[in-house]
Amino acid sequence: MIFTVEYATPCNDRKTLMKKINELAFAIIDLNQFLDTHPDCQEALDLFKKCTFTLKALRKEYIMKFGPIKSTDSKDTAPFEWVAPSTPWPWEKEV
Amino acid sequence: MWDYDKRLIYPVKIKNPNPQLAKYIIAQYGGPDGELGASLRYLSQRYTMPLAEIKGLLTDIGTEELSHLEMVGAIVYQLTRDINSEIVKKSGFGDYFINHATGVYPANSNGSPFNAFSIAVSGDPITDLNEDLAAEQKARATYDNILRMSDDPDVSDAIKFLRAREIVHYQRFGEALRIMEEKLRNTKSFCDLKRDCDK
Amino acid sequence: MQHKIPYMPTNPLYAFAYVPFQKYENLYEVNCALKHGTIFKDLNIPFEKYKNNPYMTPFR
Repeated sequence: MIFTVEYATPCNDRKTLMKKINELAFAIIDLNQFLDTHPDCQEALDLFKKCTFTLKALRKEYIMKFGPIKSTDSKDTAPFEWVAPSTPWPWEKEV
Repeated sequence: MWDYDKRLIYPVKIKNPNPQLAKYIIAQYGGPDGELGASLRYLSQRYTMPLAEIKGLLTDIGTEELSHLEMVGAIVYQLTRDINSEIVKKSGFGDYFINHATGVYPANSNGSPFNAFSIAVSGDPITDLNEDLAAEQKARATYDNILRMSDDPDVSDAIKFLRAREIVHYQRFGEALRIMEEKLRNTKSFCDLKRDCDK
Repeated sequence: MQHKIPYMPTNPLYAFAYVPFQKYENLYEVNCALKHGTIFKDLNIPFEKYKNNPYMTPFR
């Protein structure tokens, strides 16, 4: 299926990169549920593989540039990034 | 078990406070057709499902519903910013405010606290899957009602996403039911019931 | 696993409900899935499609 090339290009804007991650992660959720009931669908599996591979790279880029997405992404320097003001909680209005 | 990302599944950015709307939307947080009930139902039913695909589907959808619960909480939280006693009184938010202020409490729009009466776990796979189909329609219909009552595009945008997911889940549960029915039909003990068998 | 479930069963039974089994077709571009709420075009049924249908309106 169609994969926009823009996912491949590096991104230096936090909001844009997070948007790409949200979009891709969501496509994966939807595909995952389709695969639960269609476990033998190779086409869906191929797209799933492409998406998860790209998402890994996007997450790595985000974490390096902007901070943790999972708590285990946090750096080992004080203060603990996970609860630092620089990484707001997602229900708060965006700065 | 769970781990989580520090992000919402779909963005919630409400520009204008509206406690009256918050009162309607809390129904999808702690109400009978809300995301908490949905998640608990699926995560509870999965233990006794006989097929791996259905255990997987119930766990995956049950998990997604938790991310929806989070969205609904975020909507209510953002809708009750920048308010004062006058606004609370005029908007009909007063009854909730007395006990919860602007906290996010799992209840329905009438204030009845969340309970498990609205969910069913029968342990029978055909029954449970039919329950799940009904649950998705109830959630979808409730989101339809919220859309009828919302004049805020930011809120409607987030609600439309949540509603769209209910339709997809209905399809998946329908497929799970098909898988279960097919398995049932192809088992010898089912054929012995003197129904027509394919083989 | 190998369950080949047909789109609709050839010999449906009474007292059983059947939802058509989705085929892998008609997908949005991956980055458009989020805004539609699904990657599958066939599962995108907006409220506007039936909002004013006389059978679906709650107002009497």
